Amino acid sequence: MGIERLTNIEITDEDILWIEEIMGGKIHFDSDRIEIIKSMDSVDVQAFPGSGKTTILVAKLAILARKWPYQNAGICVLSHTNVAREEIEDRLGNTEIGRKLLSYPHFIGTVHSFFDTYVTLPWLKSNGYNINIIDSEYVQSLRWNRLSYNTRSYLKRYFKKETICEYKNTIGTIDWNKNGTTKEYLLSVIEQTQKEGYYTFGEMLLYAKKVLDDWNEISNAVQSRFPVLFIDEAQDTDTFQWELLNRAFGTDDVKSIRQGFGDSNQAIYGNIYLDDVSGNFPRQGALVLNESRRFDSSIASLANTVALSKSQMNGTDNVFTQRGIKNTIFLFKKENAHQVIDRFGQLILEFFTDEELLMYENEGVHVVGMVHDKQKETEEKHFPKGIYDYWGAYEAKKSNKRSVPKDLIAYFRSGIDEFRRFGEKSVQIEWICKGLRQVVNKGKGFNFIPAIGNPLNSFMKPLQDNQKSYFKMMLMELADYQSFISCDEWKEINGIIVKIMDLFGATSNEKVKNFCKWSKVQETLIESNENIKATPNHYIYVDEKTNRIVDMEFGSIHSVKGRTHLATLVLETYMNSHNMKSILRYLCGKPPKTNKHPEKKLKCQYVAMTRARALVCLAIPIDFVNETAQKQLQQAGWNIQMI
Amino acid sequence: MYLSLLQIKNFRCFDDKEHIITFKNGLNVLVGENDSGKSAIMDAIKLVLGTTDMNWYRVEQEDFYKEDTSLEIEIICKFEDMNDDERGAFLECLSYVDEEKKQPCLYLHWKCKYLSSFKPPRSAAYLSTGINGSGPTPTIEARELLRITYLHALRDAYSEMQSGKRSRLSQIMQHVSAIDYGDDEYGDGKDLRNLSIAGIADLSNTLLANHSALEEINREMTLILQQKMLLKKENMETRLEVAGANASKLKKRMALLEKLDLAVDKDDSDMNGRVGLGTSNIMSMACELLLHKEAAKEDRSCFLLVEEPEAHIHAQRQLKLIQSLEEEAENGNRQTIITTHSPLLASVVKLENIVIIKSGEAYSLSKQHTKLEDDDYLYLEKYLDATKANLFFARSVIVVEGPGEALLLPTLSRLLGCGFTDYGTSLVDVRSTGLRRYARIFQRKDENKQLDIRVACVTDRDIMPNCAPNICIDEKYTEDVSTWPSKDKRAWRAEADFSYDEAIEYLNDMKAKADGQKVKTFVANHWTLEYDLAYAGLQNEEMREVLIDAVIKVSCVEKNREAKKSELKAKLDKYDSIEEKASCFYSYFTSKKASKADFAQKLAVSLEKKYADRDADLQKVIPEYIVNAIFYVTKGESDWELKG
Repeated sequence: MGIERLTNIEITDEDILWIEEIMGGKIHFDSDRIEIIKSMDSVDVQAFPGSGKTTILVAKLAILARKWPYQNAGICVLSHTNVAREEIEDRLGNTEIGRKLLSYPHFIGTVHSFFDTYVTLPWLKSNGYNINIIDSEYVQSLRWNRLSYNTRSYLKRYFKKETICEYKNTIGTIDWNKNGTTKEYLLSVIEQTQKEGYYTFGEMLLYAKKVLDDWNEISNAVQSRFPVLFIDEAQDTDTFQWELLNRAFGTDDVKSIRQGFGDSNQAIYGNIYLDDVSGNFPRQGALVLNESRRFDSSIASLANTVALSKSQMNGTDNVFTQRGIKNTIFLFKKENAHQVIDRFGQLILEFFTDEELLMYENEGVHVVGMVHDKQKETEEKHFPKGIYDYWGAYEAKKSNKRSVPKDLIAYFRSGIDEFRRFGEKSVQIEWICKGLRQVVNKGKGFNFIPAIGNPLNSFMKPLQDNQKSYFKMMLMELADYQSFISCDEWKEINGIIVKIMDLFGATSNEKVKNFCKWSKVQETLIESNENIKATPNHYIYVDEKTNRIVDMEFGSIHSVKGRTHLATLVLETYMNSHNMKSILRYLCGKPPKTNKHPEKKLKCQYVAMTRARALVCLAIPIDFVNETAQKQLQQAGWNIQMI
Repeated sequence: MYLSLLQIKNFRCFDDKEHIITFKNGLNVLVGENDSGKSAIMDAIKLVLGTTDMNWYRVEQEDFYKEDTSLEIEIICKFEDMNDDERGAFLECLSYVDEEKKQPCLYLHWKCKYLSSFKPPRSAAYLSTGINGSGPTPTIEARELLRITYLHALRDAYSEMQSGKRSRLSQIMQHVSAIDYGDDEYGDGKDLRNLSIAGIADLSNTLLANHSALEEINREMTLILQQKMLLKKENMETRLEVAGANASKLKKRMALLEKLDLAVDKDDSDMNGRVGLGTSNIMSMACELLLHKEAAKEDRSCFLLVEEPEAHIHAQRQLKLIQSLEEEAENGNRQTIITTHSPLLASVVKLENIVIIKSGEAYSLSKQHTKLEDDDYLYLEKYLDATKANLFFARSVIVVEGPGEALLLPTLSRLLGCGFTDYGTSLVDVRSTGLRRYARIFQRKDENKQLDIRVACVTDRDIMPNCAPNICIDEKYTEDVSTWPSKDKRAWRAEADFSYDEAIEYLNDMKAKADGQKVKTFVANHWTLEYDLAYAGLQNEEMREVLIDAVIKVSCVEKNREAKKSELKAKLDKYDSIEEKASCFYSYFTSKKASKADFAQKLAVSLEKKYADRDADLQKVIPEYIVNAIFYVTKGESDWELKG
């Protein structure tokens, strides 16, 4: 079946009414948006921030899923974060339509998981490769640690680190030009770990490319399965991913159609070190949504100054319009950098009531900067280099997910902790099993229990029926511990661990003993236990006179992409040069007449400035902004405060 | 796509070794004796793929190899030649193994365990994909693409074609796409011919609801209620409703379709429209094929499994049926797998479509599996008839080249205490040509997977003794070779034409042409069957009488027999050597005085009388190669080798 089957699907006005009702009856699509929902052509959608792009996509998907007549062909929705999937789970998850969309034959997920699921994993399995762990950071460091001490020192002298332990560009090549024993050694370690089932995310995509190249009929099968492809946040697709997508889905719109949704102004990839200017999005003839519903024209016009696209965005009035809220630039003396946050806090309290802060608690007040990960102490001339230069307690790592427990007892405690918080015993058992897996595998000296799928099932697989019930009994005992485990209790537990190791034929060794040592409860766990609201990277400003509180969340610009805030403060940071300083002329509304724009910085700034519903603030050292510039900024619509 | 490979472990007669059955696209006919594993193969496919009649098959204790429920049944199916839609549907499950064709294929791994800890015990099955089963479980939607149509041997075809709740006929009709067309609702002014099936239901409901007699009854009912039952000022009106009028379109349609019978036109049949089991059987198959036509429209692959289609069907219809199935299977995306016990069916399908099932092993006769050459296939397909096709069902086969052997060997084998029927031996008379082609049917390309069917090819040596030209051909030829025409001018050969080495080479050549694996050639010790019979028998007084009696009986009328017998005896006495005597005896056949077939028949009758229960005596007076051949195909290799 080809693309012609899509003519069977026609989205009608009734469908639009239906979805408006399903989505709670508060949303009404205008004619521009309805046109996008109805379109079944291969066309892109250029959507400005807050124009309701994701809502439109979700609505469209719901309608399509409801009318979808094919059992074995489906809709493919690709994104770069799990936002799209979560959004659908959020808005439609409990409806029949939502469940439909999230299961066969449809696919909603990231580009990586798409190619892993449909191309790379089947191919690897067919060729006898195991799959154990797919993770760049983990696998790189696993390989790095396999290298001899001398090799690592040698590589370090050439400023190489863990990241060198990965295929780059094609399978079998690495980021190391010198031919010789070091290269061969590195390649052999990579090959060996792949045989054991360890791959980086990038390598999985490289294999996908290889399979698509070698087995050219697969492209037809992919398009037969997915005649419709949606790409959410299409601007974030990098060159290599476009290459893969073009290969898998073709570019001629003959067997499948493609609709990219995104904002070319916000094309910042998940990581500041990557860049893409492939021009795959938006394609010619894109439909444009230039009206933001997030903020009013005051913020829209400020953001337009840093937009790369020719078309400009309009704002729409909301409850915060006409309230005298002033979008402010804090110009601070460098020695006063630490006061910036408090001043922002004061401003928040001035503009918003406590009721409003509560009502918009989920969207929140955010403080962002381009650089947030502290590598080393900031040099004088680079100051302010990162978010941490404004707030010393900021820790970039914690803004990510929780780290992996280091020893068995930490696994047990994580389980207990989560059980206390969520009341799900299965979660605790999962933690215990993950820990036990390490124990058994260390005892066996190889990965006897693979780290894929449900860990409990992985344990059950090698056992006989009677052994299974025995193992379950012991697990129940282990899951009975509900306090944070004393030294004596840990001894009892170790008795059970020994039995479990026997069951799987694993013998104790140094590694096992180290892993199974008792240790004290770690600080962070106690904190969460005592229920103090001190989530990492939240700064709480308390006004001394009124005792009113503002909770500010800190993070990188990349981490807030696609989000809506109540208010945003953008901090000046340093990345090769000071970011806002180098785009100051744009902010002033006097862009230089050139074809070479500092695109990355502009896009980042654009993303940061288009998050807030009500208030955007910037913080720049006063040294960077002379009086002329100050006047221009005021003319552009900024309020200026000195610190 | 088609099912190209099936691997079965621990299921029924299949043990835990590697049992691989390969199938081809199109038609596959599984032949073999009872309990050879044909049904197990069909059931294995059914278990993994499911059937279109939605029946559910439970694995029971006896389905495990030797009923050992601690084993795990494992069935692997491989599908090849998938189209884009099919690959798309199974995208996440594909296996990339065919590096040559670069076409991904699909492996299904079906495993079943018996959970005896439950009371009552039950079986639990698990399905995965990938060449070693490490792929994801295919979704139910995707598995629908693999569902097979299954027709079992002694099903109640008659009731399947009758109306009734959930009748098979109505299920099939549901799948015909044209049934969706038309108006689903009846309204004033609508053309009745445009109504869909559901529309007809709607029409009948409307007519019923508005029928004047019924309306009248309703009115009276209301009157009675109001006047006799209810108090004043109580107001209540009755209304007649048609049950199911608000049912879904699907239900309405089903209700109507379930009213249908499939019958035959009364005038066309002697049975007043009622048909027997056999005709019902054919009709139900026609119905199932209708489903496949629908699938073909959508370019969907389909799978048809038929067990013993010959059941209840007479010979000519069998032929027609199998040929239609073969045609259907060959054009289009349709794989058909049939089991049969009918040599008739086996004889008309293409040889390469046949798979011999023998004690749990499958031996496909397709080109890549046998030693048959391309022209062998052409030849055999042309000359393989029902009598010869019974070789597919045999435990051992004896292939002979003439009516003499064909008529005599069954009797000899019986008298020697190893009758062909007792040992399941098939005798195939190939009439003077093609002997080796038949033998090659049983020889496999893969030497490690030999077919355990012993085949004896019985053939004449065709070298006459030097005295024979004179006695049997022309008196002017003497034992002096120079009196014979030159070699290239005559069709016959005599011993003098060969040196000792050449004679051995000639013999070895003859054997080499056919021998191999379980096929053995048994060459006449001297010249031909009749000559060798005389050679072995004339030296024995009793056998001499029998032979002479038989040849005289078939060569002259009754009143002359005694005279002719004495004449022959005198003639034989005249010769000194046994070669001369045997040649003299054989001249009755070369001179066409006696027919070999008649002689064999007469001889068989006499031997039955004289040599009943005297196998040891008989063995001494008949040619050794015949005895060897009979022992080889009946008692088996070891016995024969002991003797040889």
